[in-house]
Amino acid sequence: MNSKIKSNSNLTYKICTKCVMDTSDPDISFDDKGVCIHCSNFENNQKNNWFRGEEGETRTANLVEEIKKEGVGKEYDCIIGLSGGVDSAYLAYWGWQYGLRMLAVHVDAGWNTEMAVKNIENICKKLKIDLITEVIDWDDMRAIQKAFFKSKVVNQDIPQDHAFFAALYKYSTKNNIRYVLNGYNISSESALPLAWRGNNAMDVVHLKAIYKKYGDKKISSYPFLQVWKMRLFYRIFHNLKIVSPLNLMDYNKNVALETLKKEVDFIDYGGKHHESVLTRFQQSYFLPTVYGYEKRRAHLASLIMSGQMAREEALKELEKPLYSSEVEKNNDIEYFIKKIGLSRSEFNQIMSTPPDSHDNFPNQDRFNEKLDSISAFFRKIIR
Amino acid sequence: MQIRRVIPVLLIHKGLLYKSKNFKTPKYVGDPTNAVKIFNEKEVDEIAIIDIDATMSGREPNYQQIREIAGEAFMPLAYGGGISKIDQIKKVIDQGVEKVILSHYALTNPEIVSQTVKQIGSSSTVVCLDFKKKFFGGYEIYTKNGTNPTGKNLIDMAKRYEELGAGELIINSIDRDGMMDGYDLAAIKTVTSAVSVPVIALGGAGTVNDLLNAFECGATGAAAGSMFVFHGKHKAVLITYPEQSELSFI
Ligand SMILES: [Zn+2]
Repeated sequence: MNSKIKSNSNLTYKICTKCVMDTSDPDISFDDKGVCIHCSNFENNQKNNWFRGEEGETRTANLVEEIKKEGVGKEYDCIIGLSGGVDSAYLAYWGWQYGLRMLAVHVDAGWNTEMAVKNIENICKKLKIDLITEVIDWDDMRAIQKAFFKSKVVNQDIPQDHAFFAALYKYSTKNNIRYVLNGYNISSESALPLAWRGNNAMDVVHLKAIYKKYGDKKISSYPFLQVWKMRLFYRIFHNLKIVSPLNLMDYNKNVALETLKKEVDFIDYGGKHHESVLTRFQQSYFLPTVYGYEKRRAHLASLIMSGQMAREEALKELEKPLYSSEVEKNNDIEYFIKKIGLSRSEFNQIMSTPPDSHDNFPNQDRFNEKLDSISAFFRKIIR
Repeated sequence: MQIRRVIPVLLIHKGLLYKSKNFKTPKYVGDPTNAVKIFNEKEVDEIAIIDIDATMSGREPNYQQIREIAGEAFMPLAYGGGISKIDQIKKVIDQGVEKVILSHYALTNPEIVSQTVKQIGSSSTVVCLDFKKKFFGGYEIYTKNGTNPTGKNLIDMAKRYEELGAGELIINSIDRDGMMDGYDLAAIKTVTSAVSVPVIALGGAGTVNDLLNAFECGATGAAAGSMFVFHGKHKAVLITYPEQSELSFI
């Protein structure tokens, strides 16, 4: 499935001369050398927040000291989200190396793969990390996920991410934890376009509005962040310190993976974010089919920017089909249909209608600007 | 020597997965379809699903759900819950299930066991006996999720079902259910020495060692719920299954 042809209407197809971002990002722009806005943004902004070498070491030492100081007299020093993916796993390994007492939180929204649960098991067992799983009621989760699928809005992760924020709120408050270890890393995530992100997942007004239009049952126990709670949550966020240690080192995904394989018997996904069947379905089928872009493009572009991959190699990678076979693709689609509770014809019908836009739904304007900055940062805690 | 099997047992309540403690306070642990898919990828020996609502509400098995679950299970799948009539047996099997588990209705009407054997064969006919230890010794069978004392003795009934042709017996300790501190080994020993039909131990397993102890006491299968869905001190829901290497010294 190559989506090069399906670019946006205003620009003719163009690809960055330095990375691999192209006009499948509708907001992309290029300088006179054909270098894209993501590359210049990386050089001028993001790079300055990524501390490699000595400065990183000093900052790491200070951070660890702060976290430990805050944890004195408490059961845990910090909280960490575990998805079973490489970044959060390496973060856990990092914390273990520095002797941090971590409470790991995992959100089970019903789409875990075996590899994800095995990785979480291995990490928690080998590094002796306490784990809490928040299992979202499947009847509710299914209804909300189905409504989002019907709407076909860009951010299909909202139902899962929102539940994660709620879980994080719950367990950090409950355990009086102030530090949150966040797996966000400039090394592999600097190039994600705004247009590919959609509305932020913490916005309960927005979530409910989409559900009202497309949902079909009463939601009983899904953890909505209530507006009053949001205020509290927001205040708590100021008390909560969200830190991204992976930006304080020369974080390299391949090296991290090798280390994890050796130290905690980590299983490789052979792709990004495939710790959930749903994420794989969305990134490898839904988004390319409906919106004509591939999230892996932004991922590969980030790796080029951070010097972990040559452009030629990334281009070759992009030539590969998103699914290694039609059988694999059909299995995912079949599983999605069955699990979400649709018939094949309903599925086809939904796939053939134009997508709804986040802009057609209200959002919590007052909070939004602030929430956006937190949320963009926060997404990574679970990913 | 018979093959020793390690069997996850999943309970369905309100259509979703729950795990009980002493047959009470069911805790929500997730969606059956995805759980079975994960167990399938873990290449478990066998899996059993029991609908704990069906008999209580006097309804038939939920065939549609059984089919959905069976679609993710490439290992042998056993189903129990609400099977009261012989014509339901074939319907359950048709959904892709290898074994049926009879329980309440096997006590009220033992003939259903021999009829089942006639229809689908001995090796596909399983009887599950939930028991409590009696204060002055012996084990009494309970039905209806541990709410209904039958006055019947575990050993006697085990022998009876063996005569009726059951292919295997699951003996499930209500006292140990969800406790994760070991099986009722004495009960396992008593039953396995009284019958020659394969016996599967259930109720109380928390570690690989517990599984080994059940085999040691003569069980052919070691079944567990909590052990395969809960992890660590916070009882975090996490599907696990022992590695072959952990079990290889059996
Ligand atoms: Zn570029």
